[in-house]
Amino acid sequence: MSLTALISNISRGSLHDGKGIRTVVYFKGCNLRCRWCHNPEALSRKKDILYAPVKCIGCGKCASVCPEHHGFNGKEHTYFRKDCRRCGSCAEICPTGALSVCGKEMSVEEVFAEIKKDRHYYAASDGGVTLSGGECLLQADFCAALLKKCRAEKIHTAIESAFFTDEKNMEKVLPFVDFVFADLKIADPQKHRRYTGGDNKKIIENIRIMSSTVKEATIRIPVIPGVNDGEEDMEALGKIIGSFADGIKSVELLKYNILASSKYASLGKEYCSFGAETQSNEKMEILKNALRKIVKNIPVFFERS
Amino acid sequence: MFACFYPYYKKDIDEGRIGKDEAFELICCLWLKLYRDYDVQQSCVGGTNPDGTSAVNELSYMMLDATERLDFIRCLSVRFSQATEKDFLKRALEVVGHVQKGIPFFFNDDVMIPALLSKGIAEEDAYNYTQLGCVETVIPGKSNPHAVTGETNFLKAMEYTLGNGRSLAYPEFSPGVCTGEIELFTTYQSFYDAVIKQADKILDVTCSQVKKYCDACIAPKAYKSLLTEGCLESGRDFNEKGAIYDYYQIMLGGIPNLADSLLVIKKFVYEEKKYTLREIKDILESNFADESVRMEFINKVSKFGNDIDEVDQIAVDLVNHACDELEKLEKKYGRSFHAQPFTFLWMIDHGKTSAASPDGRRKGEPIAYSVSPMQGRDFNGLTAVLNSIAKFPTKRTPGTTSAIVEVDPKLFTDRNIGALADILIASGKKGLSNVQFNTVDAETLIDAKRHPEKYNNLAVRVSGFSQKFNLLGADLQDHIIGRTKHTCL
Repeated sequence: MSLTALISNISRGSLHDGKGIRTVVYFKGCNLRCRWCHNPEALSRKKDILYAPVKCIGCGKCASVCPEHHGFNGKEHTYFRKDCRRCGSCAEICPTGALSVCGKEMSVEEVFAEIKKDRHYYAASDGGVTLSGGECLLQADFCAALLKKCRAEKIHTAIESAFFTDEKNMEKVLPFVDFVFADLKIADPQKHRRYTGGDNKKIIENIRIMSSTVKEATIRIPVIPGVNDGEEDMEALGKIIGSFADGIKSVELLKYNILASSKYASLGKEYCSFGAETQSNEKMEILKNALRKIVKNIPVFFERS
Repeated sequence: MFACFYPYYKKDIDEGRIGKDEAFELICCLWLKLYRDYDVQQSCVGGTNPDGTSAVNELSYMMLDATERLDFIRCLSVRFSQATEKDFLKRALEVVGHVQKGIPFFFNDDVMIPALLSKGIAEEDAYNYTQLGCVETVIPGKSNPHAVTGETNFLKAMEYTLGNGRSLAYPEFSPGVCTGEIELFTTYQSFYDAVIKQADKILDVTCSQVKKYCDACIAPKAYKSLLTEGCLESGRDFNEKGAIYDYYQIMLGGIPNLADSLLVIKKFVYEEKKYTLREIKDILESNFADESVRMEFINKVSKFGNDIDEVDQIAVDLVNHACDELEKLEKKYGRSFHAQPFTFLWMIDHGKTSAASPDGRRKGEPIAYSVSPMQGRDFNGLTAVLNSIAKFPTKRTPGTTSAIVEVDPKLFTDRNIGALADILIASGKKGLSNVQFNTVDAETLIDAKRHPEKYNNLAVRVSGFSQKFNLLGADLQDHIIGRTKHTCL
C-alpha cells in the first residue's frame, strides 16, 4: 500500500517560503498549540469542516443530508458542531462551498503530481517545494518519500518545522532537505509551555542537531505583541541561536499575522487576538537590532511593509 | 518601432548631433502625438533577430522609460523570447507595476514567429511582426490582417446543440445545424460531436461573411494602398487583396465558457447521471431559477484556468479543432485564415446575446475575455492560470492567443519583479502567446466586497503574508479597502 498523508492545502506560486517560486505543501496536524497560530485549520490531525457564512445562500441542502447538525430558520443557517463526526457529507452536497472539508488524504504520487506542474517556474527562478503545516515532521515517512522523489527530479527541497518532534522523524527527513526553516518562539521554558503547550527544551535540542547536519537553515521568530516582542525577549532568543551550529545562515523576524480571525470563525473556534495591528517597521527594526547585538555573525531580517 | 529608429539614433549620438536627453524628449513627444483617448496606436519594443539573438537595444529601454515617465495609457507592447535579457523583462514589468495600467503587455516570439512561418510568411518578415491596435498581428507595411472582422462566439454551439439548431436566447431563430433532438445523444461523444458540428458551421458562416464583405471592397483605402507593399505592384487596393500578405484573422470567442460547459455536461449528464440533457436545457431556459443549481454547476465541476487537465484539455481540443477547420475553409474560400483566440470587447456583447450556459453563466452575463478564464473561476494562483493558458496550440494561432491576467498591485512591487520575470520566461517556454497584466485598484476591492463571487482570485498582501480577499472577515476587508483608497491623489 502506498503512503498517504493528510494535506490541508497545496499553495502554488509562493514567493515567501524559500528561494524563488515555490509550491508549499501544508500538512495537517500539529502537536503544538501556539495561541497565535495563523493556520488553525492545520492543527487537528483529523479532517475539519469549514463553514463560511458569507457564501451560504440558505438552500438547505446540507440539512437534507444531515438534519442533526444543520438547522434553518427561514434562509438562516446554523451549523451545530457538537458531536459532528466531520463525515463531510454536508460539504459534499453544499453547492456554494460555504461548507467545505479541510484535509485531503493524498498519496506521495498525487502530491508529487501537483508539485511537478510548476517545475518550469522552479527552474527559471531557482525555486522548488516547501513542506509546511501544521507540523510536516509528524508525517515523516511521507515527507521523506516525497522529498526523495523531488530530489531525484532535481527539485529544490525545503521544510518549515517547529521541531517539536521525535529525533527519529528528523533523521528520516533531513537527508532529503536542501533548506530548513526552523521556528523558534520563546526562550523562557515556562512561558513557552504556557503559550504553545510544548516544551522548548526538545525544540532547542532538535534545532541544534539539525543545524549541524543541514547546509542551510533560517530561524523564524514569529513576533507576538505582549508575548515575545521586547528587546529582552530577542536577547534571550539570541543567546539560544548563538549556541547553534554553522547550518543557521539567517534569522527572520515575522510580523504578527492579524489575518487569522476569519479562519478561526470558519472552524467554529475561539480566536485569541494579540491586538488589531501588526508591528510597524520601526518596532521591528528595534527588535532586529536587539537580536543583532547577540547574534553577531548571522544576518537578521524581516519583510518590511 | 525602436528598430526603425535605432540606426538614426545611433548615428546622431555618435556624430554628436543629439544628446540622450534630447532623444528621450523626442520619444516623449512622439508618445504624446500618438496618444488618443481610445489608445490603439501601438508601438512595440524588444523582439528577436533571425539569428535567434535578442533585438533589445538602448532605445528599447528608453521607450519603456518614456512610457513610465509620462504615466498615461501608451499602447506599448514588448516582444520577448527565451533569448531576451532578463534585465529588460524586469524593467518592462517594473513599468507595469509603476504605471498600473496594464502596460506594457507581452508577446512571445517563440510561438508567434513559428505560427507566422506556418502560414507562409517569409522568415525575415515573420521576425519583423508587430501588433496593430490590440493584439492584431501584422507584418509592417506588407500586410492586411482584416483585423477584427471575423468574430465568433463558440458558446453559441452549446445553445444550438441543445436547441437542435435553434437559439435558446432567441427561439424564433434557428441559426445552427439540425443535430437532432437531445434525447438522441446517448453518449458524451455523440453530444460533443454535435457541438463540434455547430462550431464548424459558426466558423464557416464567419469565413464566408468576411470573404463577402472584403470582396465587396466597400471601404477602399487609397492612401494606405500607397504605403503597403504589393498594392502598387499588383494594381489592387489594400482592401482588394493588394497587400503582399492578405489574411483574415478569425476571432475565436467563448472557448473557456464552452470548455467549462462541456465538462459540466460530461460530469452531470453522462458520468454522475445527476441530470438529463432535457433537465439541463430547462434549467438554462429558466436562467437558473434555482440559484443553488447554478452554484452546483460552478463549484462542483473543475473550471478552465486552474491547471486541471480534465477541463483545460477540452479548451485546447476546441482551438485545435478550429485550426484544423480553418485549414479546410482556406481551401473552400481560397483565402488565408489565421486563428485568433481573442474577443476584443465583444465578450460583453456576445454575453448579452447568449442564453444561460452550463458553466453557471447567467443569461446576458459577459463571456470570458479571449482565453482568460471566465471571470472569478480561477483560484489556483498565477502559475496555474498561466499554465492553463500556455497549453493552447499557440504555434497554430498567428492571430495571437490573448489573455489578461489580473494581478494584485502589491505583487507588482519592485522586490517581486525578478520572480515575475522568471514567471514570464517560464510560461513563455511552456507556450504562452500573449499576456497582459491587470493590476487592481480600490474600487475593484469595494466591488469585490459587494460581489465576492466575481473575485475568487483576488489576493491581498498585508505585511509579511497574503490572503485571498474573499476569505477575510468584513472588518479586515474594510481595513484594506481603507488603506488602498489613498492611492488616488
